[in-house]
Amino acid sequence: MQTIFSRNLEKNLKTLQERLHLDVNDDVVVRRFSALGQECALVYVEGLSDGEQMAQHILRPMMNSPLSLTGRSAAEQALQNVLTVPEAESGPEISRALDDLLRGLCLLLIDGCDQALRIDLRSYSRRALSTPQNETVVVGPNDAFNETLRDNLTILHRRLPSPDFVCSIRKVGTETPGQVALCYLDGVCPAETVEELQRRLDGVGLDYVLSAGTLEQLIEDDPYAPLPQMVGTERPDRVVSFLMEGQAVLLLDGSPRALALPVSLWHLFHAPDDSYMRWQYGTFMRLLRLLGALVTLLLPAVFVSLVVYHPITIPMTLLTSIMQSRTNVPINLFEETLLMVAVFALINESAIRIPGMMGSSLGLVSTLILGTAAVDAGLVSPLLIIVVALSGLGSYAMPNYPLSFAFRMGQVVLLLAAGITGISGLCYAVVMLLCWVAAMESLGQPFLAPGSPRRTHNPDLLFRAPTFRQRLRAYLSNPEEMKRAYGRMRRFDGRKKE
Amino acid sequence: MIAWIRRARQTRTQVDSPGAMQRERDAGLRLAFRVLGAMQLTTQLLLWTIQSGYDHLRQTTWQAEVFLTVPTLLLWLLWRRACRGGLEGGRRYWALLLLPNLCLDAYLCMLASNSLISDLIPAKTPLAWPLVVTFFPVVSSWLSRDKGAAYGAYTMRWLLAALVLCSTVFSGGDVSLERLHPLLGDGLGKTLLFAAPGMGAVWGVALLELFPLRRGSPEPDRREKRRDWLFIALPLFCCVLWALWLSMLEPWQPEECWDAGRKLAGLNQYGSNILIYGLSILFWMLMLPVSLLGTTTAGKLLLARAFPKIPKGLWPPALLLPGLALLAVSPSAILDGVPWILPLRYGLSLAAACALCLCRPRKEKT
Repeated sequence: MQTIFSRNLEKNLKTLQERLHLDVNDDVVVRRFSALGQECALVYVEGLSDGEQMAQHILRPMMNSPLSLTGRSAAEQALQNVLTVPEAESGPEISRALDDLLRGLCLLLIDGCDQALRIDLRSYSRRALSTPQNETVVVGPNDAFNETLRDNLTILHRRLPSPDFVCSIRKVGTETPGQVALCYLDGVCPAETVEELQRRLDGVGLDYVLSAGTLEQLIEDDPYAPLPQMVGTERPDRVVSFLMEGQAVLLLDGSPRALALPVSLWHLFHAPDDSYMRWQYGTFMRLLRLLGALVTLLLPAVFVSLVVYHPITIPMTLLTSIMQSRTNVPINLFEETLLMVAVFALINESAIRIPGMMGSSLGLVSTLILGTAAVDAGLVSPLLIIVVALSGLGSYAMPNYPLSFAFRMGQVVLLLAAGITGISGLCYAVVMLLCWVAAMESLGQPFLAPGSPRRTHNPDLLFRAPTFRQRLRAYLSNPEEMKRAYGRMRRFDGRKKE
Repeated sequence: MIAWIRRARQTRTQVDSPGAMQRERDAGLRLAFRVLGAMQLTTQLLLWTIQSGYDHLRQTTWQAEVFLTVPTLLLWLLWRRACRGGLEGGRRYWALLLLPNLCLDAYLCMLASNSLISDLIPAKTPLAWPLVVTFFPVVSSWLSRDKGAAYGAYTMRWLLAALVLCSTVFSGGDVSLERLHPLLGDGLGKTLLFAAPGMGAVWGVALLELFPLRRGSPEPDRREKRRDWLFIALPLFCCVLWALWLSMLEPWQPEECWDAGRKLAGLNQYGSNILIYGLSILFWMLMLPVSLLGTTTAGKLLLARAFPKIPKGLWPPALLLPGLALLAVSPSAILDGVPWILPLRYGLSLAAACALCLCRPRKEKT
């Protein structure tokens, strides 16, 4: 198969016709014209390049130019003296030319020249920048990434005008490579983090990486682990925060979700609000989220184990109330809890998939029919509905969607252990899950660090220290750049402190 | 909290170079393994206290634990010296010498777990709870790989300490110093004789020095070496304090046929609040799996290093199978039939330390 362009225009066009199936593919346009004393052809994908810009910066200057270019350097000379485009490259490789063509660049071929000019005049319809769909905040900016890599990098450059901000664009995918940008702050992000990420990206063997979620599964440390080992975010402010902490971020063209790594479990509990509000509120909210996570994980299992196997530990009045509420329930508590957890998960999934117009009907169905009617019919006890609802609320309090899924699945595991073996099985399962999570790593960093094992870190994990006390970056950064603030941060404050 | 505030105020950090960062990482790993080792040591001491010393709590138990300090320190110092020369020499010999200790530790934890669970929930079949106490540690060992047990134990350290504190300090209202008299209980001779079998419970100081089994890890600094004493002192101190406290409580009458589980839970049944009983059960329910997981992890790492051709994942079930077989056939076979095997653990640990000393590569004289 031909790998480089020949000097014959017809031959080149025939090669392109074969590779792009131009006999049946109507999307690719070949515009032939005479200019500079030669036959030329402009090839582009309709809809990806701007026709007006092509006419203004390529066709008109070339056709009106009095120059007569021949030979192999015709493309280079045209680029230097004729074309008025801001971004263009020349090269003989057909594969590279095709990649760029299919990404929206246009190709300029000149008869007698074995180089193709790849000109960037992309202009295609794209989703406008909007507010975040899944990471809403009460206080803070409301811009979010979209599916276009260039737009996302533009947002980041605007937010982080640092000369050390590096965006290295690489290809992932073997058959149909997509673009992924590896972003980091040079000097702040450790070199081994960047090298390891590059190694993993080069090792992706899939033909086409569809989304950031697919990429995540291909490069994470432990794909069988229960928890995500990267933070996915659609917020530019969070990405900048990760970059400043010494972490690296991946942005995939076609996905509005950025992947930040390495991370720890504590990063999954953070929300942008925590930093934008007072440190007391931030700390309070994080503790609340942790409480919600524990309620999600443990409440149904503890409830079942105590009521079924260890009722002696429950105060008599509460135990009486529980037993009275279960008088008419035909199934045992363990099966009843499993059933309610399954129904709750079903309602969750339906709420996501249901078309918008029918959303209100779902609320009616779940509240009236599944809640009230089921209790009146004696199928479930009202106390159990409270338990399951509380555990569901706890999962909604978690800002990271995959994390809430992980906790809901862990809830089922613990429920099974508690239902079969009581509190002892529950404790064994808790230890098992804890040690499993403790063994996880994110890009080689322990997942429970800097708590376990101990690391020097910025006091912004579970408890958020005041901003003017956070002098260090995270333990994930380059140790030589770990200190980010020198001297007093509130320099106007004349009181003698510290 | 104070450390958090201090860190929040810090203007400089000790970690300012790649070398310092690597040292911090090594120190963190070592600390996590030491905490796990300390938990295993504490568990074995408490189990010995309960199984052997339960009936003598008012007479000799806490005194015997004080006397155990001496052999513990001696063994620890020997292991410390042995490990200084590296862990490469004769690793098969000393790993095999430690293998019976690990199996016995696992058996004791499984026995305690099994009887505690049976006491709480009568099993429908005889094999139900033995399989549970085998299945979970094996799966946990596979999932937690090499470091998960240590990091998990490090995460739980404060919870377990709080549970034992709550269930001990608040376990009874009627505490009297008079019940400590006479101080030497049955006398010095009888106390020493009673303490001798307890030496088998302290063999685990070897694990404090052996792990994390890193090749080429840097020598710990002085501050870390000074802290190493804590991991010996704290388990001993906790066990002495626990036995001492329970000796001072309102008199209770243990029944003769109480098994290990009943004894684990029994003491706190006399507490003034049912919550205390629950907290003590919770403590054992968390401590026993952690200790068991520590044993299987230690065995897996030691034996995989000694016999690299055998898949690492086979060692945890291999360590637990003898215990499972004993639980299925005759749970208290060792305690009632051959109790002298348990103190032998000290001797085997001593022999392993000597083997490590003898087998380490000699430095060539220049």
